[in-house]
Amino acid sequence: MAAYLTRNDRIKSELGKDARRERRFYMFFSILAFVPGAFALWEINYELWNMIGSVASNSPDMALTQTVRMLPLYLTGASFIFFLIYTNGAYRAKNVKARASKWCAGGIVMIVLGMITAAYVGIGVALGEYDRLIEGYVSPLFPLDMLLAGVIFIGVGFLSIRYSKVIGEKGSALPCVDDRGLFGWRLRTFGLLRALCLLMAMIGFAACFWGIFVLDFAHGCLMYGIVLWLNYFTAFAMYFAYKYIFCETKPGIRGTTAVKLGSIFLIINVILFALHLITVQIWNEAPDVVAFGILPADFLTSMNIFAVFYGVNNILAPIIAIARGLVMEKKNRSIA
Amino acid sequence: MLKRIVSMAVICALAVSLLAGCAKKTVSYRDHLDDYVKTMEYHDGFTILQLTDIHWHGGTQVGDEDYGSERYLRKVINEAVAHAGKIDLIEVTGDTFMLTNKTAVKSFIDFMTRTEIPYAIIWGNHDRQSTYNPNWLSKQFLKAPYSLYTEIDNDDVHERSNYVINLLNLDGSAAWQITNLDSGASYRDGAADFDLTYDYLRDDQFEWMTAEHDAVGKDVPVICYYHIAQADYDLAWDAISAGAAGYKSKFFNIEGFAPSKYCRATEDICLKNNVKAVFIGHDHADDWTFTTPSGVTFGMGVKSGKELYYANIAPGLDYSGVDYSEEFALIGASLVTLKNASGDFGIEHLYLNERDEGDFVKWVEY
Repeated sequence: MAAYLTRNDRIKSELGKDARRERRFYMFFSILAFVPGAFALWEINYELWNMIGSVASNSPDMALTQTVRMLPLYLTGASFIFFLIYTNGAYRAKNVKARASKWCAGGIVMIVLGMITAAYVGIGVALGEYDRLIEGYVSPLFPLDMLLAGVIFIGVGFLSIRYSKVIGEKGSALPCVDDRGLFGWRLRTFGLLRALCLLMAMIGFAACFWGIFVLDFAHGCLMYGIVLWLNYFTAFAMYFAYKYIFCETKPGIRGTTAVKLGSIFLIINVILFALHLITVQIWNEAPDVVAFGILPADFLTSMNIFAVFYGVNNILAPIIAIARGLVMEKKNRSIA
Repeated sequence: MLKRIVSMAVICALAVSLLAGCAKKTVSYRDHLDDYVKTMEYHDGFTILQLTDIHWHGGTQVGDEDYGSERYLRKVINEAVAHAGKIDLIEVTGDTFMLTNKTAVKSFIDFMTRTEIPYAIIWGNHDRQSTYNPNWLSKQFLKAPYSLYTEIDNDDVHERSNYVINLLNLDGSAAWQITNLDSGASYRDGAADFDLTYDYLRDDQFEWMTAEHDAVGKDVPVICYYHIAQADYDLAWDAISAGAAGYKSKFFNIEGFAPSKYCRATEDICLKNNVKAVFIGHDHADDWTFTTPSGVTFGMGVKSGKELYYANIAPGLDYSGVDYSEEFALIGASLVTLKNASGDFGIEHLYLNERDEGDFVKWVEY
């Protein structure tokens, strides 16, 4: 535990002033995209289940009507996720040229996504698809917020392209990460798992936020509500631990870091999952009475799945982290 | 360090469990029977319009020219007023909202306020499924103009929207009692029960209902409204399909009924409490209504709008007893007219489809 909390074991301890500033720049943007992206994903989560419900109940016309109106929401969610992906890719680029090209390509895509989003809302309002610029659903400012998001994405896109030119001309102080050769197919596998964990973390983050307002603690079943909230919280906390502890630890001790972090989260999540099952067993009405707003899938699938899905995710991810950490430790020992 | 973190996690879990408590049912309905009661003035020809499963979801509710729940509901209510002369009460029997937010709820309340017709809201399963606290939703309807919604916090009656509307004669005696029940959301046997079933009416609700009925007099006729079908519908459908005598039935059953696997038949309770009719929502593709040989009518409302899903009725469903020759969407409303204080009433279903060439409007009497 002390290892990855020691300043000297963090990557940033070896960085110069410019590199640290550049690193902070990436961190800032990743958080900036994560938070609104999480809320957009939450609304998409709602809309998707509604749409699936319409299709499954032989009313595809209603699914189409909803999709036509909610397309800017889907585009916005996709834009935030794409922004996270390409800034992360640039942060972990294998060389400066690749970093510049990622910013440039990402910027072009952001401009296109932003233009489509903004134009769609603008045309939608003009044609009467949206009755007014602020209808109030799915968010209090919808669709104006989507229009503004589109404009911001265009701006972000242009700034990304501009930044790629700066990197091309002046270089980048932040060291590049050439770990592709080390992992090969495993990188792709873990990359997919990471993407899934990122989605779970984003929805978990939004669920934590909405849970504060949605969970009906006044109706009793306090324990169930807290455990459910913590289940979502750890999904989000795990990703942050991965991103800001594991990834920021020097490669030589990452195996140990992964094992320790994985062990801590595994223990916590097993306890939480067990508590979740116990609380549902004791208060079988609790999910319906207390927390339906943050269990959007359960009703429409008629299955008690959403929290369980999170529980399984929260247990599997640390197990994979521990296994991966053990393999890394073994490799380090064999290299030594 | 690891040991310390694990210890802290266990301590936190224990502390949380100590804080835990589920049952906060501190209020006995027996001591507060009057608090569940709203009253209205009765007259022969009292009309109750049932709107159900509106799913004021927000995705399509606002003034969209292609489709809008608000515009549609306004048409339904206007049509009902034109047809009946006056609507005295609107019963909104659940799933008014789904996967929505506070703004959408407020827009619905604004809409209902503009109708200037008293209305009674009943919780459906989906009303609990949005980015608001269920208590917040209760409070909105407790304070909304024209809303008759009543809820006793932390009482010992299952769920929320259990309240009665006593329709009073000029002398203050009850002519009819309208009983609203909350049939809950979903139910599971425990943590290992992944296959959710719908919730069901509980014995404490029936006991409360009997107590409220006893309070106005055993001879007073009752109409019940709630959301999710109990076992009566399946039993009657099977009995009628098997050729049982003495039943009357009409309208459509496209998707079957979705009762809880734990619910029971309620006819004996209805007979005990002089319940003349029960009306529910929940199943969007059904409005099937039947009367048992004992004379209790069990009706299903007509889904009010297309949100989430709805049924198209193809020509040729002769069992329905409805005379129609063209396909139409099974959406609209249901109208009950209380003919007198002796328990006589009429039922009409309104099918209203918006069409470019002119709206399809059809009233069918039960």
